[in-house]
Amino acid sequence: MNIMVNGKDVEIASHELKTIVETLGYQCHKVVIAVNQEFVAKEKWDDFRVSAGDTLDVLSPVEGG
Amino acid sequence: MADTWDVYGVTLSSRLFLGTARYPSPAIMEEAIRCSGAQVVTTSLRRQSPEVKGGRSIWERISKLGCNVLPNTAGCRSSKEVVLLAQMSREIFETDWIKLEVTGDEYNLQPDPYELIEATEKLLENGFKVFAYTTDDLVVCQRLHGLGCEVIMPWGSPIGSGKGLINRYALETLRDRMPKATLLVDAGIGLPSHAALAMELGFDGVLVNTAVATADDPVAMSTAMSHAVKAGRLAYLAGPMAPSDTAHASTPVLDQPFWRQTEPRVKESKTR
Repeated sequence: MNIMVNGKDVEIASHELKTIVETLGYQCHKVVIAVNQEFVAKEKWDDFRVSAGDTLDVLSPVEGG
Repeated sequence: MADTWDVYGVTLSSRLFLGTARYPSPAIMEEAIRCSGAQVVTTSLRRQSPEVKGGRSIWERISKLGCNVLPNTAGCRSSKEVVLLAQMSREIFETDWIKLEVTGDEYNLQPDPYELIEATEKLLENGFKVFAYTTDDLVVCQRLHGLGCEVIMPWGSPIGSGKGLINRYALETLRDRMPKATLLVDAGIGLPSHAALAMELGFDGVLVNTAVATADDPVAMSTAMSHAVKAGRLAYLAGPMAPSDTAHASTPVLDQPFWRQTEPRVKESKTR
């Protein structure tokens, strides 16, 4: 299925958010995720299922003013 | 003299909050923060590419400084975006503190007062400790405080402008009319003298970023800002003299040598 990750179209096999995070290479990063502009806490990644056409925002800490 | 203050239950001794953006290098940022003595630093969240190892490294550098982290919602344009970003910030930074920024105008990055009020209500309902960045509008600040927002941060001038406190009257009015609110001047401070003035006016603290980060020597400038904040605070506590329109000799006039009574000067009138 295809989903949008940080504004880019990505083809992915799994529907499980935790697996998607690992497949995309984020497992070593300190990130937080929103799916379709709704926050998904890390403790819910195991059970959260992503559907075709969903939009993921994967964010990490940056410097800020 | 101990001059600690409480911010949402956290006791601080420094009244300078420092931003972490726009420094020439992460190492200089670290050193500038250390030399400033700041105990609160601001951060943000942005999209992360898996190929870039940025997030973890910058977070490790900031977290090892031992400062309180104040994540911002910079770039948000609606209360919905604010709440989403705040929820994500709370998880990753492990803090309920949130520096609420919601932009209403792209040209001067002026906060949107309507979205600001709505966002504050939602954030407080969700248990956040809100630091609201706003204009110097008295009514907006009063409304924010009335909602339960304890820390209000009016701008001195637009973000990154370095123009200082362009509406001193408005800021003095805020301090005078809101004695119980914790007020920090955020944005627009370009020089240590601007920071000192804010503190002399009775503000509880200042937040500075661009003035330090873009100085030729950020470490020296952060040190200067630290001294200025302390000097301004001390001057406020000392109780400044009242200005006068006329001169008052500071040296005693009694027993002035060579003194003699003179006739009072009379202005010569013009003859026609």
